[in-house]
Amino acid sequence: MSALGIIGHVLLGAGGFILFVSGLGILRMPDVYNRMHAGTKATTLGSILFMLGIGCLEPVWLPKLILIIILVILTNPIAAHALARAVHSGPKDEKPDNLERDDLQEERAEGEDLDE
Amino acid sequence: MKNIGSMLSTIVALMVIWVCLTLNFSISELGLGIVFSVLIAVSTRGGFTSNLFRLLKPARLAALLVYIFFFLSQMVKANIDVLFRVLRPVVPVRPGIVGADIGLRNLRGRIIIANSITLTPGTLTVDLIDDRIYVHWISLPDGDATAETQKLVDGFAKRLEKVLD
Repeated sequence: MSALGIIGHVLLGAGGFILFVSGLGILRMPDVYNRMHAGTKATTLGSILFMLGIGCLEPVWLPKLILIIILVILTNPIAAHALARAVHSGPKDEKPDNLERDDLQEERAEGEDLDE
Repeated sequence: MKNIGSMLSTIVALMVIWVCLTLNFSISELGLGIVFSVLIAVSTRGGFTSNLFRLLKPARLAALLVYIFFFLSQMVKANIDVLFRVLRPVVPVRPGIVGADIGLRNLRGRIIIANSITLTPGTLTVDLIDDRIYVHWISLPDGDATAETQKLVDGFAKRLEKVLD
């Protein structure tokens, strides 16, 4: 096996491990927001390492894989942001109640007071 | 024709994507790519990209590289952080949402900062209202959480400001 092949397999293994930890984090974290932490950061780096690993094994695909990496970096945080925002503006009894402070909630409440 | 720069940069960006996807350098393929790129760029009036040629100054390119390197190092740190949290027997959390000001006028810049903060250790952008960003922490930093959040946002904003103007 060539050196590039070994590097490729190591990257594939690392990416797979990080994706596994990400899935485990979604099961283990206590509330919606914290699950989102595990589901965004770890899946992004996991996918990137996976793409690079595939790129080492099949160098011809590298341009396409780099496009995929850029798209993943651009879209993953936006998906997490949309989910977090939806949870925060959703019904009260479905929100996690363990937040120590919530500036967004407070400043929204202040804004509503001013509107009245 | 005031946004001809952004139209040209849309064409260049689309051509790069086209070549990456087709990996075919025959004249007919490239010609088809140019036709589609020009069609899209003209019909959207270059709305997809701003004028990317402004980035072609050495100082800005250097700042962009610094930003990308900083961002990637933060992302690796974020993953190690998540890894240790998830693998502990009791997941340590002390969550909270803290607001901070970005202080950038550029709309795309604000979005880049919001996305970067989502991918950095322990933080997730919940909402972005005008100039104010709301960050969710897995565990609030010790001491003054407001000041710590502002420091984090400023760290990104300062580095990005050098790229944008």
